[in-house]
Amino acid sequence: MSTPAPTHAFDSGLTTPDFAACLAMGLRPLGLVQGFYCGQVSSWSSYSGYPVRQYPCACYEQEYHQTGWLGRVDDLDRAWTAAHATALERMLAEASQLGASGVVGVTTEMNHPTNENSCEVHLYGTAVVLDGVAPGRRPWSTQLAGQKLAKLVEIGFVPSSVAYARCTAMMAEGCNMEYYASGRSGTGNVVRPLQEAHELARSGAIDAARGLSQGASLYGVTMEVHESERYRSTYVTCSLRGSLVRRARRTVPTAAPTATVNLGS
Amino acid sequence: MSTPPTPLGGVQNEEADLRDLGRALAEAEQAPVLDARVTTSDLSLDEILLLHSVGLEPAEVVFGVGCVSILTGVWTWAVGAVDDARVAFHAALNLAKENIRSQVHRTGALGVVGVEVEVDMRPHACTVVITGTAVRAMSDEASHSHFRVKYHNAFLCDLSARDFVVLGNAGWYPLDLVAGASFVHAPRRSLGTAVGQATQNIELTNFTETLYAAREQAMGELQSRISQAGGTGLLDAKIVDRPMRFASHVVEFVVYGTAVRMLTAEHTHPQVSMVVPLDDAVRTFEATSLD
Amino acid sequence: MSNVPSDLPKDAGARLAELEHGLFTSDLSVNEFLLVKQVGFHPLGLVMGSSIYHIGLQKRSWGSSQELTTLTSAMYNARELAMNRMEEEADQLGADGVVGVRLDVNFYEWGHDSAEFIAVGTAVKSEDGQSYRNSLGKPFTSDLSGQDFWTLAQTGYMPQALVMGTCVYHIAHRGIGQAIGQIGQNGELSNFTQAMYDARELAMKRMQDEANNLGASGVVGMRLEEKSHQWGEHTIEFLSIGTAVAPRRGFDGTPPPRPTTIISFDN
Repeated sequence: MSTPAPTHAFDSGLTTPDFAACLAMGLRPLGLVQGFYCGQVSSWSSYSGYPVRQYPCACYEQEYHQTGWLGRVDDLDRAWTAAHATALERMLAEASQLGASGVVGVTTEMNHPTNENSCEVHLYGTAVVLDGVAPGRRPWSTQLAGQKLAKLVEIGFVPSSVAYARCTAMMAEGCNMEYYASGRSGTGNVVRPLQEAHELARSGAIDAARGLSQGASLYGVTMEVHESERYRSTYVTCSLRGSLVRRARRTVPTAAPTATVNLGS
Repeated sequence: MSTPPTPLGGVQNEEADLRDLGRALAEAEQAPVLDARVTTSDLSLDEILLLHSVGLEPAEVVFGVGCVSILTGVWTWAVGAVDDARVAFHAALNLAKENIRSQVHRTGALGVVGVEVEVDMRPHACTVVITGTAVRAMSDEASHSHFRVKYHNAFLCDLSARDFVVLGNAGWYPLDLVAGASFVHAPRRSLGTAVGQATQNIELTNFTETLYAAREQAMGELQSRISQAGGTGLLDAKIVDRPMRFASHVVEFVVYGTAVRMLTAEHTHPQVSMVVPLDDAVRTFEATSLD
Repeated sequence: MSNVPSDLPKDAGARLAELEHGLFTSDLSVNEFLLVKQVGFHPLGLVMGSSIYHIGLQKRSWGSSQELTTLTSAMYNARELAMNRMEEEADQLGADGVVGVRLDVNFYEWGHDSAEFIAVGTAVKSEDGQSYRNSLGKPFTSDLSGQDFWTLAQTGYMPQALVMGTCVYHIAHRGIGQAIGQIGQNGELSNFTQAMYDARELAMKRMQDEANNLGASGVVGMRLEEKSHQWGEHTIEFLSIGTAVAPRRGFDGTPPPRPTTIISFDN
């Protein structure tokens, strides 16, 4: 196989080493493709939360005291995941038009363009075609490019799609008798809902990511957790980004590495 | 699979390797999905390749959360060490460790690498969150190397997967995440003393001793936890030493790291060679160097 | 043990006793640990020294450049105290030296005009049974990383001690007439130049004197830090710090291996 030469002018977001490595792998860059979605997300005041668990007060006058609770708030989660999915479809549609096999080096930008009630998702990457192979029905996409993509294939996986998942949990403090206790967990209705909100947000996001995967693995995960307080409630949001990949061949373990000491500063 | 995979390596065969991999990618377009266990991983690809070299692969992103209450008022009323805060910190860490281990157990993994520790001290509660990637023995029957160590209890280590592999090659293995902590009030100087000392260069010995005592206690606690975990050492200790965010007269000292033990008869020295990189500002992770 | 630690707070004792029984703690990274082992040393434990010091006052005269000797001696003595305590901890462990030393200064809200000086490092002991203590019979200290320590060892040198020199200097304000006279001109502010020059010279000279007293053959990894801490713009501490080195006893003169030149393909 000789190194494929680009047949027409192309633009690409690849760095020079990534460009070289893609060409060496037989991946010919076709052009920069992007997908964009800008929308409104419902404001916090109209959240559609639903309770998951309640924590009745543990102290002796319980009937007078507030109950703590744990809940899911999924309207924002749905808005953002839908925004990401739409932007991804738009990027893949552009890639298909170019006759691409896949999109490498996908960058994801997610912002609030104006205020908290707006969302913006921008995905862009470089569409590539595998020389001598007819592109599939739907191009694959990955955050990786060049050498790193080669390593992924070496591990035995091929890229499937970039993925985004998130989950928001909330907790409301109940009777705060726990403030007068020390070193306790799981007995009252302040720290236990807080702990379980943290757990719910993370496991919810991981489960949502798994729901997208259809048997694929999620690699290169970055997990971001954001906690905010409103009135006496705490909101914990966990979002996951990564590349879905599927196993395509068996892996032979790599040789043990050799150690070096770098004299560069 | 027609082309045998060649490990990425030296500069000379770089291009040949990449072509093979491109071909593999092309063939995989049509290939059926192999029956494999599903994986979630926050490791870099270099780290995954390194894990493969010792017969391991990533399994799942796992986490543990522990949240424990702290008595109201300890930050303002206590004198000397705020013991309630220390107790709460350890309780929260233990809870988080229990939770992450039960997830590891469910996935059938050996332990967790690259554990990230987040400690959030609040006036009335301490939250500890630990997150990492569980690793398991490679599923491929074709794999030749097998991970040599049998763990009874899942290991937790805040060393990266890369450090885990390099350390293992030298004969040392991680056991558990251990910590020591102290939260201590700075002693108060009486007005008379303060005025008397205003122009002098002088060591404030009671201040020094208070902080010394707190730190030594935390370090002592760390050591006894290393022994409890069966370790003989602790590497890459992380030290947090600062005034508390919400109570500036309280000094927080937290030290944590991974308890390790040598499990081979002797320490294996890696073959080290010097290299001079010609890259400008090599900033990325280099799987094979010791920097 | 030759010299019994004198002013180490009593709480350090029990913890150090435990470390003598084979357990070690260290803030060395895995790489550093392996390289320190490669040189032939085993970590013994994390050692630290601390001193909370009240820094006295000294009148500064607005228009003159001068060293503020009270502040200089405060900064020096406080660091010295912290370093000595760290060395004493190392000594108590029977260490040959301390690697990866970090010197920090913390200012706390509650400590008016006072600061905490901390020295932290990993005590190490040689595995060949030979002593690598410095000419004063104390454990060597060094702020070199594990990588630098290994590289230094390849050249046939061993660290002797962390040496430092400090100078707190007040730099004169310009007189109003002088400032007006210089408006709109490009020109050297020669009194500023001279003051900075003097202060740096003093700091470096003091560091070199420390190295000479040790009988060291040189100082590596020397750096000059300039900080105003909490004194305002015109008062600056010039801290010169480095690791004094001397040829390793019994070094056979083998030149260090030739390094390989590489270009990594990761970007």
